[in-house]
Amino acid sequence: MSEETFRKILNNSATEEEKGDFYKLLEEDNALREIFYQYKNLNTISILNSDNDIQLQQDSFERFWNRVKPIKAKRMVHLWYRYAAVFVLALSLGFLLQYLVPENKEVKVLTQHITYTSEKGSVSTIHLEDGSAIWLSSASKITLHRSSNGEMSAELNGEAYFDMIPDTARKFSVDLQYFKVKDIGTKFNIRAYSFEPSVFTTLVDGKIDLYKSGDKPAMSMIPGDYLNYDKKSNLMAVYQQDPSISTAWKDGKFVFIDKSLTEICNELENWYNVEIIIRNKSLAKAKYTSVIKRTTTVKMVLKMLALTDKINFKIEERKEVRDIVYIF
Amino acid sequence: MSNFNAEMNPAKLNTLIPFLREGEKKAFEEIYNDFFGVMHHLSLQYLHDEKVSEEIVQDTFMKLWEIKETLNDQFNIRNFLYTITKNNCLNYLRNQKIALKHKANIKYLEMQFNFESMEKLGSYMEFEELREKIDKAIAALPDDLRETFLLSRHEELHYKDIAEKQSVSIKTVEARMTKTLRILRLELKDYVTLICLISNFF
Repeated sequence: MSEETFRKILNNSATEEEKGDFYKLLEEDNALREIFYQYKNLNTISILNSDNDIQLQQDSFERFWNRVKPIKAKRMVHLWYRYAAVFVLALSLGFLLQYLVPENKEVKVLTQHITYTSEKGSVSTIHLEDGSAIWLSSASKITLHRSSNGEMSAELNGEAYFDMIPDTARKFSVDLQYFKVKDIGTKFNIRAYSFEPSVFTTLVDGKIDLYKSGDKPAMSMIPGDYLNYDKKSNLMAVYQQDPSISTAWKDGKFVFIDKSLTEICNELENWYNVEIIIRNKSLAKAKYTSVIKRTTTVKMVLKMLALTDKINFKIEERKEVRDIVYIF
Repeated sequence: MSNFNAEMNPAKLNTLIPFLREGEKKAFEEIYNDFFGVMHHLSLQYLHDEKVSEEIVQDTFMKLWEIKETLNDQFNIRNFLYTITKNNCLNYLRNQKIALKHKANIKYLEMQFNFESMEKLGSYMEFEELREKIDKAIAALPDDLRETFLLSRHEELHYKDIAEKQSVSIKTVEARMTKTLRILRLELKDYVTLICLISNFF
């Protein structure tokens, strides 16, 4: 979907077919839907003060006055009224547990072209010669390329946290297939799993530029920015969010803020070697907020979630293939 | 275009209250003219129906008429008009949705998503805070950027049309939009998740 379609939807000039496609996409895609809400409201407010139709306004007032005039003189009605506030409270708050789990495996120093992988359920650390470090999350792969002119680039599939020492002589970028991140001495987190519909980038400190194509930056991120790039629609949204939420994994924590059970299960599958099947579809969209230690077993995690809601689960242990967890 | 947040200030508005209590035509007309544009725009954006939007604003003023005798001098008219208009819109969308019912219907989906967006506009305080911030940010833009930006919000105008209207190239329009959105993004970052649409904006 293009920006033009999006704009047509907002100024109501889209064809029925475009509308149909767009709203169906919106129905499936939570991230896009959030983008739509915000952009719709922003668009509305930004044109609220533009010229209005004086003729329509005068006619409207005349009609209004004709409605009230006949009853004007004698009416003595005291009506109760109140403001019906509209609150959307879709928050089912779980509980917060905080543990620190400093248990990372060390990997050797970088040379020329090297690929590192992290197995499921483990976090690896890569130390570069200049003191920079890269943390590699569960089921992730990173390839580092370094050329003699001081340029260094990385291809990432999965999630990684970068702590790059500022160095004007060294240029560092991460290629994400959809866009490229150029670093200027920073701490940032990138989450780009192939099973997820979005690529996420969080800037903790410093500055990074994003490149779509060519050599002009598409945008710059500032600390606290959290970018959600939707692969299907090619839309990106930037939020301000506490960066420690995105980077909690490297401290051995799962942090779920208002996440659906489906999203949580994807995350658990990516860490524990299990397959999770949600049998009761009505549970799939329920939202949870919690912080859970990563070293606990999948059984413990599910037990904790079950405390907050009516979730039942059963684990089917299997030999040689991964276990199956049923949620019902 | 330069007239941002043009409605009467609250103090002036409140001097009208004694006259509203009496049902004075002049006082109602003044307030009607002051708020009609904004309220009509607001409804139209979510309902996409000129006539219904006009009726909704009229109903809002009917409500004000019904309670006029109970108004005290500190009554917040702006808050009242905003809240009632918004609730009228939400009710309208809710009822229409029920009438359509079929989920496959495009109109149904449109109403559903517009309903959800409008709910997120929040209370009058939130709405007004955001509006002030946006108006300030837009007003502070250099003239050429502001004109291009406001044109781009308007119905049915494509970058090509804007370029023609302002007799500049499409490239210039694109560059102005990029610049504007970067400025707005920084100005508004505490208030909203600002959206960057990749393809043409950057």
